[in-house]
Amino acid sequence: MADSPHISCGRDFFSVPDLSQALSSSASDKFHFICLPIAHPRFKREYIKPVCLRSRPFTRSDLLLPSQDWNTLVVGKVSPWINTDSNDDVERKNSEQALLQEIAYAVHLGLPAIMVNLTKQPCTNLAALINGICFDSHVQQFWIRVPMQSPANEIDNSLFEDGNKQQTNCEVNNDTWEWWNSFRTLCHNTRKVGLALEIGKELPTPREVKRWLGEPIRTLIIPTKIFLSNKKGYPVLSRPHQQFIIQLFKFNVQFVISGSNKMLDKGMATYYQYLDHLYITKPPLDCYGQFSKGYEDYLQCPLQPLMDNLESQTYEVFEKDPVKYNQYQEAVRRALVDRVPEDKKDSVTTILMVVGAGRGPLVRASFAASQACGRGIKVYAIEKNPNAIVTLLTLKQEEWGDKVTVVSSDMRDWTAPEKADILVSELLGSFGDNELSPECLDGAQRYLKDDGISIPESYTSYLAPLSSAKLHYEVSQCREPNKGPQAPFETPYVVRLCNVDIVAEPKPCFHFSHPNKDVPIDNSRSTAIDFDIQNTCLIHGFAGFFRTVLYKELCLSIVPADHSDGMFSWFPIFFPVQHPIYLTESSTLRVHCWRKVSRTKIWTVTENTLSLMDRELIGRTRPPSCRIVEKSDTYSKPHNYKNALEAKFTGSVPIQSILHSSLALEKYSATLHFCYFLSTCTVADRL
Amino acid sequence: MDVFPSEVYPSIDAIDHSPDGKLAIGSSKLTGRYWNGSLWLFKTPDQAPDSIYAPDNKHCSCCASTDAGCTDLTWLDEKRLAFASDNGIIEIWSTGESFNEVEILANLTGHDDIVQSISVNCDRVKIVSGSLDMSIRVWDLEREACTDTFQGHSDAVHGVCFRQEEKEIFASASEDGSIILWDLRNDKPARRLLNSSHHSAAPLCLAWDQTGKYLAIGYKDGSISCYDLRNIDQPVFKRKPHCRDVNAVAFCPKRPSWLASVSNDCIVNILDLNANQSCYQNNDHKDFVRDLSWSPVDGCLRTCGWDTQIIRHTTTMIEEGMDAKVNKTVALETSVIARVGCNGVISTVNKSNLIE
Repeated sequence: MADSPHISCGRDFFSVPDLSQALSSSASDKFHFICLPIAHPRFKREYIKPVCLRSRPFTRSDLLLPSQDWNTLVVGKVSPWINTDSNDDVERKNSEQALLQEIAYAVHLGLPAIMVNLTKQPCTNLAALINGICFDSHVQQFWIRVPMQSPANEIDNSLFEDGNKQQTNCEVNNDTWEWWNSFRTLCHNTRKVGLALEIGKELPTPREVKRWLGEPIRTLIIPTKIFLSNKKGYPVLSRPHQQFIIQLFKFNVQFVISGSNKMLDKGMATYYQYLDHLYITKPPLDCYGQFSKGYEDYLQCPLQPLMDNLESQTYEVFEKDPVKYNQYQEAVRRALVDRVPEDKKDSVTTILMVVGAGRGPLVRASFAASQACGRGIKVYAIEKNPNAIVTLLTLKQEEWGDKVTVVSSDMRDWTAPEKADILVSELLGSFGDNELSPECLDGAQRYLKDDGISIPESYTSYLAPLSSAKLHYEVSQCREPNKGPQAPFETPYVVRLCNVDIVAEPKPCFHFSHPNKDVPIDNSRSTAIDFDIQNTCLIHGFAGFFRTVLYKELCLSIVPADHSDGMFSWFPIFFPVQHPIYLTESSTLRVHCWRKVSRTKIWTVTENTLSLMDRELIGRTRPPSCRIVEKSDTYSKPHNYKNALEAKFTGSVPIQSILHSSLALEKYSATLHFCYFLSTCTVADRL
Repeated sequence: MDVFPSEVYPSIDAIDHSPDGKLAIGSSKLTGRYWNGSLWLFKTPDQAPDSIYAPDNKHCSCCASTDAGCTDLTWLDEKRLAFASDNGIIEIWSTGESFNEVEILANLTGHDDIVQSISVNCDRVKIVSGSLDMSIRVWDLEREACTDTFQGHSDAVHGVCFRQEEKEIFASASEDGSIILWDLRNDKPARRLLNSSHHSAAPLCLAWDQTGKYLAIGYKDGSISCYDLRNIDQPVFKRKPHCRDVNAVAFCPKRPSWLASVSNDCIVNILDLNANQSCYQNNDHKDFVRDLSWSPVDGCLRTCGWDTQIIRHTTTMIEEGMDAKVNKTVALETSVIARVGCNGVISTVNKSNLIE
């Protein structure tokens, strides 16, 4: 839809005396579909006491329109008098029967969506009925109409003498997001239940608005009463409304205009034209947006360049990044200038080793830097991928000549003829060290001079909790036949985050700096991060980012706050959680992360603490190839796990080691564990 | 759309007597191909109950098709009436000089959903309307425009009613359980009288008595309560004569202690406030009874419903009901039933001829 020239907008009718006239008037107003009541909104039906003389059909016949029109043009609305959660038994039973009757008829008509109102709490019975219908029938989609502001908040308190203080319904929750959350949780987050969000005159606070951006919004309902009138008398929206709507354009959202025509001399078409105008004049995508078009919320497996050899196409995509190599070039240039003073520039040749050279972009960047500052360099290009070596050797023959020595070897295994001044590498994954850069560079630094530097100097990974029903659903669909339902949740994904809400500011997780002068070198890490949760929300997982310092103040970052402009080489990483975690506002979420290391594997283990309430958590989150070690204290020492797990890891199949985190929910005193594995074995080791 | 409806549509949703005794009914088609409505006026509804009323007969005056079904209807004066309809518009109709035709004078638009209830004030200048879009609008008839829109409720507004003899005071009842008293003279016009803690079911309709002291409220669960405004905490009266939605309540102008109510349980009930009990019950209606109206001329009660019947309950019948057994529900024999047939013919039928 991001490419379609116009938005898809429908018209909501509350009264449809003549169906074909309603359709034709909407078509002439350029609307794409209409929402109309399945049965007359006032036609209350009685199912308990027999009421005579009702031999009439309960609504219009399906013969009025050809079935193609029913299937594509009409959204059915359930009657407003249906109240399935009433306290009164009679009303509840009548409402249930009426609801089932209307929905069955809508399914008979083949309507593409059925709109159900969620305007009050509780909604448990309604959710149960809708859930049952989703399982049992061919219903295509439900649009659950939820107002952004509770109707109780829309009351004009200035009308009341006492400022409306009499209204003491404290037990009624006025947070409509909570209504939606409990409803969709009761419906098991099925894709058939979508959100039809209705905006009101006043938008809620920005952080409440932000929360909706992680929800599966299918359509936005805009009542005519919130439109303002511009100088020429055409309907327009206020700036906050405009900004919210523009944010929704990238979610493929449809729009519905509801209510009566307030601009009598202009007609309903002007409302649609205004929305379309907003869509057409929205700000164009930046470089990053254009590159990632089509990848929004699309789950990809993270690359493992150490274990696997990258393919030509992957190299090609990386080499297109406009920003990354410029920064590297500038870093090399600055490093050269700092190391070689002006007067020595003709006499000193800096030895520069590009470890993990790929197809040579860093070599090229280094030469450009050298030319720019006039310092001579001698380059070694070390690359373990024998296929990329072909490219490197060709480039050496055709362009570089003797200035470059190409080395076909794993950097950890190579014996260098001389020591390097600068080690240049780009071994970073979306979570910083997840492509095992520390292990590789530790192996390479033995041929770095004592005063030698590494570009990058350091990198830090960042973690933030996120809410996204859509991603959670996508992960759950990644099931493989031989593995259990928890398997897709035990691996991270690289994904361009779109329909998500990042609930708290990302915080640093693991940090590495090079060269690593520690004796002995320990790349294992353990950290606990606290996140302040401002708003009630449902966490479906964690987003991972990284920031690297190439040289002094030159950085590359995918942390949203200071994302390098236009750099598209890394999408964020996503660590899903199988069972969404509900957090209340003003609470703290503590996440424990460990990075664990052995000779051949890197993994992180999370640990389940036994707590009386959550025993069953252990069974559910147990990773398939880990034996759960039960401990009575909160956090056990890493090396115990190492022993426990290492026993399992034998055989020729390389084990995937994972970065995993544990979540200690202070409230529930339980921790969830999941393991992600990365392997340090390369293809060569396996053969 | 036909100018003249071919028939009175099956669901008669509103009935009202004009001050000089003429009768207007609004009916809707709630199923079928078209969901529109019609308006029928009768000059002398209570004369000669045995004669046949036909559309071209001198007894039935005129009729008109409306765009959408009728939810409420009220006479403004002897010629004009206001018709609240399903498309959110309040239409002002007027009869001609000879009462042979009726034409539309104005359309009051603005509501975003079905208009549930309208009421006109005593000097016939203001109309107030309550709608499913949760708002209440006050209209000025001279300017034919909306003067105020009030967002005072957090759910659909089911009933509005101006207080007798007051130009600026009315009450509103809403699905959110609250009853609000509005005084348009104040800057802050609203005062919440009752909220959902007073009664578990939602109030659906209201009526003031002649003196303006008492407010009667009908609820969704079939209860009726009556409050004295001077002492709002305790109801004067609370009963449950029905077992389904109470659609309309009204005090009898001739006998102030009689409170009539109609309900979706097909029963017409009259409560005697002095005797604190039901004095009359009638279940001749075969479907939901939607509206009632006391005649200012002879004091009889007419009720209408979705069974396409208009039933007239005379004062004698009601009094006979009072003398009958107090504890039993007595369905009195009605000697006159006016049934509006499918061909527009209103025929009066004796009980013996009733076809079940």
